[in-house]
Amino acid sequence: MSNFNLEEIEKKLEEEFKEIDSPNKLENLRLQYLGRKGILAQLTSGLAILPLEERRQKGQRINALKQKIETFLSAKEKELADISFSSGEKIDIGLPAVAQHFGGLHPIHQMIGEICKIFVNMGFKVVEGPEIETEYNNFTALNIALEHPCRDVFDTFYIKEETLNPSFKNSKEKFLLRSHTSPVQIRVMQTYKPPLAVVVPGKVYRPDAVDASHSFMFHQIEGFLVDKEVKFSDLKGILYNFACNVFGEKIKMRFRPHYFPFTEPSAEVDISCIICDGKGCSVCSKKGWLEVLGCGMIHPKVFKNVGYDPKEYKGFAFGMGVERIVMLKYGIDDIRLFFENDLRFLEQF
Amino acid sequence: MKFTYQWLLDFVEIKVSPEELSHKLTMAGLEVVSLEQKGKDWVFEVEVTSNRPDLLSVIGIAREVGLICKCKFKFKFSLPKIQKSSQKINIKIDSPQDCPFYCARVIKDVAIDYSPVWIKERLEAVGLRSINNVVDITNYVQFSLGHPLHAFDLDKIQDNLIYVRRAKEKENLLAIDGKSYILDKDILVIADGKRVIALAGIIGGKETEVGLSTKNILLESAKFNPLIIRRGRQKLGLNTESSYRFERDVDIFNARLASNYAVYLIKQFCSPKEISERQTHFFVPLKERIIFNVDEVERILGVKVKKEKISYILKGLEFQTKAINKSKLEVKVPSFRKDIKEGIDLVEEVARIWGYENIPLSLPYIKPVEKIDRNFDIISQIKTILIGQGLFEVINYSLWSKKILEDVGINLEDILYISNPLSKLQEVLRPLLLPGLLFNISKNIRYQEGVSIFEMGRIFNKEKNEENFLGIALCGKRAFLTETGRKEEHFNLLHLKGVVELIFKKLGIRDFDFVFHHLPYLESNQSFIITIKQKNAGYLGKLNPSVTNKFDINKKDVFISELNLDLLLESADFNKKYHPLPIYPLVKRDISILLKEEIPLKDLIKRIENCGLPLLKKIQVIDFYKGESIPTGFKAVTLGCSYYSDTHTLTDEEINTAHNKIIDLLKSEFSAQLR
Repeated sequence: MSNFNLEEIEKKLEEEFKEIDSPNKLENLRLQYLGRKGILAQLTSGLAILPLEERRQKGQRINALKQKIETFLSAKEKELADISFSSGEKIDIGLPAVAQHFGGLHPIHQMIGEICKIFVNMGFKVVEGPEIETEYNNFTALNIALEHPCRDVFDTFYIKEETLNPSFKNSKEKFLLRSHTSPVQIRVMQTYKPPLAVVVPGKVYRPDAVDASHSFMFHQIEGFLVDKEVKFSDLKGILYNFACNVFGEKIKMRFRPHYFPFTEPSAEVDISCIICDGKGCSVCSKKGWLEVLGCGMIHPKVFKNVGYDPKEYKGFAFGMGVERIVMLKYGIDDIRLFFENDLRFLEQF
Repeated sequence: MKFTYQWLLDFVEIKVSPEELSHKLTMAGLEVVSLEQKGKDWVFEVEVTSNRPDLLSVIGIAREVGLICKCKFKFKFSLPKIQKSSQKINIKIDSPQDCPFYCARVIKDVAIDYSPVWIKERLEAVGLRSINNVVDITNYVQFSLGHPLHAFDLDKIQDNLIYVRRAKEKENLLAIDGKSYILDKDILVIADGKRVIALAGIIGGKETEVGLSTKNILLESAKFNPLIIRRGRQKLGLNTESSYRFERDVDIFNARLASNYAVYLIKQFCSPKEISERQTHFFVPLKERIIFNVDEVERILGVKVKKEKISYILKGLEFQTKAINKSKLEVKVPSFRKDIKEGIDLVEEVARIWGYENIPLSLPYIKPVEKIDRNFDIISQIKTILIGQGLFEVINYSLWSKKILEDVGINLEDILYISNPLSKLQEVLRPLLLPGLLFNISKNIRYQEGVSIFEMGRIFNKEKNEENFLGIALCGKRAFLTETGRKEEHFNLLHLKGVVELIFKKLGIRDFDFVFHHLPYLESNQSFIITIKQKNAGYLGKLNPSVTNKFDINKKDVFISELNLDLLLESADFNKKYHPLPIYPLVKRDISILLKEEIPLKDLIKRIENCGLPLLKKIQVIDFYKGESIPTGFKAVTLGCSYYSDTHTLTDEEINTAHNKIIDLLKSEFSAQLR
């Protein structure tokens, strides 16, 4: 062993090192060099026969090499450990992921949330009102005469008087399930002074027999703004902003004169058909337009009924059916699906 | 309301195509819901809003068309000579409120025959059946001018009397629709000297109907009280073209015009020999006058419309205008526009003719609200948690049948009922969310291994009228695949408790409890009331199988909880305070014990927490086992105790003292055996 060449050993070691790619191979290498019968042990044992001075020199070089190997080994060990904790087995990435089960919001509430957020971002405040309302708030205060053809579109469920709490029975009021969200206008205006900018989501009820396009219960979103200077052009601007947010920037919008007892001037609002882009299809009955909401400037009589001076205040109000908007947006053709709550339906949104 | 293009041409010289006209009408507020070509003519169907009875006529539509298409309105006919009557008819009216105007024209020796083809075709185009020339003329005039007329066979009228009165109780009439109607004092009728011959403004009687044998007729044109007509037709369940117009109110001047036009047509097509009249009216309505500030137009619309343009539009709609000063107009409203009562109504007229599309877009300045009600936000945070727990949101009807509630075992005493339900299936307002959730599980569990759902909505009861509730229901299992194979987890009550506690945690509600209490629809040993600060906040439990069976959920456990959302929001506490991070080591020691099965862990934990050990930072159950190797009647529990002091590193001695105190307490007060 006298003619061993440390440089050569070191060179060989470096090459062998490059090929180490697992902890097992690393251990073998460690044993090969540093084991009890390893190369370095052999070298050390060969030193005994050398003269003192040479022994000292070679001994130092062997020690240096040993240290170098140890540094190498620990660095490699760390490197391998960083690569993988496991044994390095292959995983089939096609296996289903292990994930927390995630539920979902009902599409109606997703839409309500989306719409309310649009208005909240414009400065509106969300308010909710009771589903059991007085006849006064639901009709009279909104300038809807109880016995007039204008009420025909508002068929209403009444609450059986004898089942009501005696404290309600004593009042002369009749109680009903609200047929629209507009009575919340009355409640808010009776309680607060202008300026007001409010959106009201909620359930409403009308005695319609249930079929693919009718339901005795559905959802509306109402919005209104009251201040000293509110104009029809503001209503147009706000609603255009809303429609762009819900249906996309390309949407076209038109306002058609209409009649509602609680607004004057009143309008129905159409958007260009989102199915055919306004060319005409079965969804829009070949018209190219889809009616999405009703709106108008709040009628002076409504202001008088809540104790506001119509000369001082102006305002606008709008209302829309949430089911209709969701149905249009996703191409749903049966309103009953919303209340059947089939998870295979709900999971799609 | 239907009409045809050719019909409209009789009244106005239109120069635009039917399609363009359809668009213009729609944009002026008379929505064309369908337009169909029929032979050489076009049939329009328009939606007339309830405030515009004047548009229930071709003439009314023609007036609008004249203005919006800038073409000439024309309608002319000459009234035949009205002679002196050879037969005296008496008109008797009980109440001018019920009938403020009645005009009877006696027309003798009419030749009953088929109608001219053009009348027949037009009537058929708008959905009416041709009967004979006289009846068809009354219908044709109704559609042309908007005023309903009725022709009686004069010779069948007894005692030469037209008597407008309320029906007597149980009086009846066989109407021209072949049905017999039983009447009462709320119904206005036309009677002769002996009996009822027509239901005023609604339908004529069979016996006085004009038929082939008719020689002489009495043509009625009247105005009846809209409210009486409305109540009457509602009571009788009868809606006719006539009642539809009367309940929207008609114009006395138009009643005259309609009668004249009918007489003109009868003269032309039925060759009568004598026309005379008898008429009664109690008052002539005055034209409404409005002082209109034209500046209002800009103030309301947000765009300037010139004063000349405003006057032009109003005049075009047959309003008479007179300038009072620079900005004020005196406006006289035509008698057929009963919807125009104040300035704002005139603003709308200007806007819709000028064109809503010409109003620009602007954005208002919206003042920020002072107080923000956070409930809507908090609700959506709660929903986010629930979704994160794998729950799907459902929406159920608020109306149910009484039977469903009985099936569930709910006390029916405090329930609210609908007085006019569509059916027995929707008769009561839900007093809890349970029935809907059960239906949802029943429907879904057929296709799904597990169903986990929640609903937020109102429940109704006598005490509060309505309250906001949150319902959560779990059924079945959830499965997932791991590298070591498929794992299944059946839902149990603790999953549900976990969801409920997460919500409490998010809302900062700490003072809550699950109190054992048997509810009828829950299984007796898994039924709890949830309390917040000792107040009842809802329930949690496993449904009684006798209930789930009724909903076709067989052999599957259903876990359900309902929480009073109003109380939750009221109890929420979002105040948070920062606690410094630990700077000394936290020491953990476990205790494994055997406990008698009946000892509630809740009580045990509470006792230790309150035993006065300031160093005990946290104690919780970290393992639990019952079954093999554990004696029956016992459960094995491991408690994890964490000790900490924020002033120094704890010594072994300090920890041992505290830990031994807990062990002693467990032994002495809960007869626990160390394992």
